[in-house]
Amino acid sequence: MPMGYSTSFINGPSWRFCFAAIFWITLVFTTTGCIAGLYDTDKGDKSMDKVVQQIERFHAGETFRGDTTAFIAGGVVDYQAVDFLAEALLKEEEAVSEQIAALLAGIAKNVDPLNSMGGDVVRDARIIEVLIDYGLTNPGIVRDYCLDVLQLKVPPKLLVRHGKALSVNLEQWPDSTAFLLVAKVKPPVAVEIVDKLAETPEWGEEWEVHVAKAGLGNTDVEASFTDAFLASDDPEEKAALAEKLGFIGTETSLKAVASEMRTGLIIEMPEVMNTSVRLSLIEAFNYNFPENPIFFVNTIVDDSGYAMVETFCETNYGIEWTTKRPPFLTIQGFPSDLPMEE
Amino acid sequence: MAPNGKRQKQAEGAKSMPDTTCDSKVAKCPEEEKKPVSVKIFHKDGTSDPPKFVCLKKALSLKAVPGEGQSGTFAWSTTSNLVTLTNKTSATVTVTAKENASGAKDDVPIKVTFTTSDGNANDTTNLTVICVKFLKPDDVKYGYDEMDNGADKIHHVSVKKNGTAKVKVKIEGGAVAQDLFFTSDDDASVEPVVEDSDKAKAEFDLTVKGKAKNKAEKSFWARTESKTGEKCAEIKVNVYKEIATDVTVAKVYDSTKAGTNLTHPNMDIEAAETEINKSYKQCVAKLNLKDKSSTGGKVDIRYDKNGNGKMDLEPGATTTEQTAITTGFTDAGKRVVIVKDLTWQYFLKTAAAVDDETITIKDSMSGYMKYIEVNKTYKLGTGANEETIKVKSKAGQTITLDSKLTKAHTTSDAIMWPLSGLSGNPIYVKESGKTEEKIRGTIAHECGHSLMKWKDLKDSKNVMYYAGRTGRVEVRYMDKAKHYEAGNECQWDTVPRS
Repeated sequence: MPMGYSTSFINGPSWRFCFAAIFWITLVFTTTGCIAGLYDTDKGDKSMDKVVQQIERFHAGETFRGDTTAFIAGGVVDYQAVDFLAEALLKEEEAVSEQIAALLAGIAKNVDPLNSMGGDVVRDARIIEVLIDYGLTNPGIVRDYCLDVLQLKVPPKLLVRHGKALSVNLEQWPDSTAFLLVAKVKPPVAVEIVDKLAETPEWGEEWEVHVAKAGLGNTDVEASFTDAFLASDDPEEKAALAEKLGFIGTETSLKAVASEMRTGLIIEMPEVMNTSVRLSLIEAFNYNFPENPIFFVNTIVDDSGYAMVETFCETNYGIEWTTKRPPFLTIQGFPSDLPMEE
Repeated sequence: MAPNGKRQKQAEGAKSMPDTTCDSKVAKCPEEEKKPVSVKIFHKDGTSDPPKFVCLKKALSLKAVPGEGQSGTFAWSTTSNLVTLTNKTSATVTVTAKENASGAKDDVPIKVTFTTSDGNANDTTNLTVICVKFLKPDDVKYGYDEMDNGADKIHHVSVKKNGTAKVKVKIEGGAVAQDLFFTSDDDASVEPVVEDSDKAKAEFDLTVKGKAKNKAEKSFWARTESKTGEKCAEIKVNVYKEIATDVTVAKVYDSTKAGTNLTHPNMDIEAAETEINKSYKQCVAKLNLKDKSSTGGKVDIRYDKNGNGKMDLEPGATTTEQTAITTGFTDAGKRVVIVKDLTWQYFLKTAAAVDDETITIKDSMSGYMKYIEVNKTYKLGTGANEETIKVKSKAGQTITLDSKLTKAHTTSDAIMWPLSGLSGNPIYVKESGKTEEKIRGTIAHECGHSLMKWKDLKDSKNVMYYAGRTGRVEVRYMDKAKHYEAGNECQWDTVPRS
């Protein structure tokens, strides 16, 4: 939880000095000296200096563009800087805090070796904790950003210990993405909360609520999704339903997705591209297992990529294939920007 | 509707007066004991204040209430030409505003004359005809679609989930913001807020507050009298979760082949992002364009295997030059590859000899023959084997030439189709002959297909215009005709929001 200084990051000729002074004075008084021994003051100053400089740039209108080199040294995250960023996440104005949240997620992404292999994953436990404990404390665009990162980039197993906090957060501030997040994490305590919200006029008809119910164990709702998916022969509809089954993320829903991994359906966008629906099915697995490189769709460059995914389906869901694998296709593009244009 | 204090007291006072009805059989009724004839104008409910405002082309009702026990006839009138009155001889009159707003507040007097056998009484109330418009604000934060200002078309404004946007409100006729009530169909999705500093203004920016829904479309209303009063104007508000998608751009050259050097090796990707997002923000989306090079420069990939200075692609197949790039460029999300030049190679199925008048293309390319056009010229072969051919006709994969071949060609030779860009992931963009603006336009357009699921449109101002990549900036809510398919597309709603 926040360490307890109350000043905000302020602008002015000597604001950095003032900030540093107030921070350390407050820190000393509020932690009764016991934390002093844990800090390498010199290192802490450097970390804070980096944070202050970065936040100064955000105040000047800069947006985070992926550069986290100041916060990662030799493949190791500067966690003191992360702690300072966490504090700033709470204290700064919303637009700046949104950039800080993006920076934190960026640090977690850039330090993770999977992301240089085609992954898009956040696994740093401390940063995940910060995104939850500091990022979800108020409704607004900062919380939205943090919810998105948690929902789309963090492996479910790393969120399990935060299940209660996420459920309470949903109850306090119901939100479409927060429903999908509890569906992903599946904390038992969320069942009652989701059921209660599902009875309100504001949320009862939202598809995210149905996904949450299915994800939390309502087998009737789950069946409505799996039945529709298995029955669909429309490429775009099947791809969209696969995404929802991925969001549900139960054994049953993923088995349904796995069973269709040899679908020959192709989403045709005339004169633009043909896309195999299999990519959407793989994305559904990537959502649930973002740390497994076989689900990094951009690394599928030949049939061996599909073969590995099929083996996963056979091993984990007992799928037996009744059809041959379709001809290799990921995305076949067509000419754009035709020569006669303009 | 809160009852009018003054009018209510008058009405109640009238009711509590002693019954002065005369019974001539009992006693003579003195003239001085007769209750004076009276009438008051009320809201149509008969007890509340009469309304002060009537919206342009809308109607309201007023009710005349006589003194207790009085009966007689009513005659409604007005000296204003801004309204018409109907049911003018009833207790309740309907006032319909015409097509012009008041010149000043309270400039529409509505008079009722109540006549009984004992005399008559009058009352007058003053109305203001107002016109309320929702308009595009000077500074559009996300999107504002005026729907081509078509008759009866309601404007749309987009706002980010949990974010804010603005809509300009213009009130004509004399009313100001605090005279009206701004409401939402669903406060759980979007909420209108009039800032305190704007309450006395007739023209101001209304704040649109998006709430916690990922996608919702609701109406804002400007109403008179109360939060459930007459609707004067409507605007549709589309609240969307912002979609921010990573796109990595690699400006690729082959350091071993001088012909692959780029003209724009330092194209500013951040600046491109800024420009592209001016379009994408309209539907509450953005592209996070990332330069594959940490220095913002070109990336060296040894792709030009045959040294022709071009990246060779093949319809319906993956070339070795393509694989050289994709294996070294596996970043998650959308990828864009900019190279000096591109070709799409249609390989010969069978060798062709000098003086042949037909050539045949490989079977695997049968689905792509439509791109080879009659009467167009193409290069066949490379280097010493290169010659220009003109297509006279085609049947299946067999092409009849306008003149005989001058050189022999093996099945390693191909028609070099002049590819300018190829959709997909990665998107391939030919740099030669293009300005940075056009490259930017190509990225915006192709990412629109892949990430926003937008189709090619006929609308020449739109980012998704099928033929042209520069100067196209619009992303619309209004349905626009698709180019390659039947039907229309609403771009804002097409974007996947989960």
